Amino acid sequence: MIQAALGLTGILTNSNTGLIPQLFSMFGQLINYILVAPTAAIGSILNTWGQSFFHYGLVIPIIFTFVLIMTGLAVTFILQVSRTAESLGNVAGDMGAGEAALAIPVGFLPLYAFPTVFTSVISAFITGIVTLFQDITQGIDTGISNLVYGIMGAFGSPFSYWSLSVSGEGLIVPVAFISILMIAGVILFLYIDAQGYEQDVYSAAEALTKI
Amino acid sequence: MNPKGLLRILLSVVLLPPSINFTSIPYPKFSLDIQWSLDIIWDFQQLMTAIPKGILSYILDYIAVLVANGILTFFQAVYYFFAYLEYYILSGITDASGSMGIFALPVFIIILALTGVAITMVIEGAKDISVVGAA
Repeated sequence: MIQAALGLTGILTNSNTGLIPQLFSMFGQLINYILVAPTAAIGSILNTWGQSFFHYGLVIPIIFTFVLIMTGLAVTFILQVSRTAESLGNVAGDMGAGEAALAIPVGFLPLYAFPTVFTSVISAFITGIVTLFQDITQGIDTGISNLVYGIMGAFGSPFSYWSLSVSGEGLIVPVAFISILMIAGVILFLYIDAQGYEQDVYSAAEALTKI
Repeated sequence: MNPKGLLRILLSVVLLPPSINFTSIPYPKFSLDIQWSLDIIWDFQQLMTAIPKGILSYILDYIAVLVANGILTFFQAVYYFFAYLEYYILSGITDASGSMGIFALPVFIIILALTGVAITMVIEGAKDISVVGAA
């Protein structure tokens, strides 16, 4: 019976093939993918977007600013929608933190009688949790990397194409550069100013309701 | 190589399908714990106690491995379901908006927002549904 129990402990706790570490490992792989996939999609679309400026030549900064403003409006739309949507929090079970803290050592109570088994199980849990955190950390790392590559593509590609578009145009190049940048800057400034103005009105209305 | 091609290679980020793997727990091997000697009676006595122990241990471990591998396969299937759900949603949005040229980014974000709202609505709507013990 003891031999069978030891075999069972091995099945549960083996650091490479044990059930407990592998359950944590698979959960970690899922979390990793949940973190990495959206950033890969965003990075991919940012790159695609950046590459699409290839044909627009000298007016790239103006179109870039215009589309960026459209995106800003879309983000504002998301924020408005998420503000009205009910929060998805509070989905945890009925068990409170105190009860959970009590349940964990009580659950292990039978194992206290077998120190070797107990040590193996604790070790398996620790191995599993470490693997889980490694997967999460790696997911965050890859996610940041994807976003950075995406942002590099989104900002780097259009402005590279813009600079290439004026090559060979002679003395007019600095004038064209500055004029286009000024137009783009004015559009961006007007947008930010309008947004700031709206925010001031919103804050004032909110303050009035509190009076 | 032209600059455009160079940029495409340097700045490629690809959405890959999920890969969630586990190593199957190896099945036990039947073994008997016997210290053989030249004493036939002693060896016979050892065999009489070791055989039932070995068989019991083998059967229990075999069942445990079967159950454990089953649990791992089940969780792998559940995780794959959610991971592929995310993959197909994101892949669909990326493919749909990717061909929109300079409007790819705003279209992507708008579709993402609408998908998020739809998922939120489904989850919120499902909160009140009770399958077991419905009043």
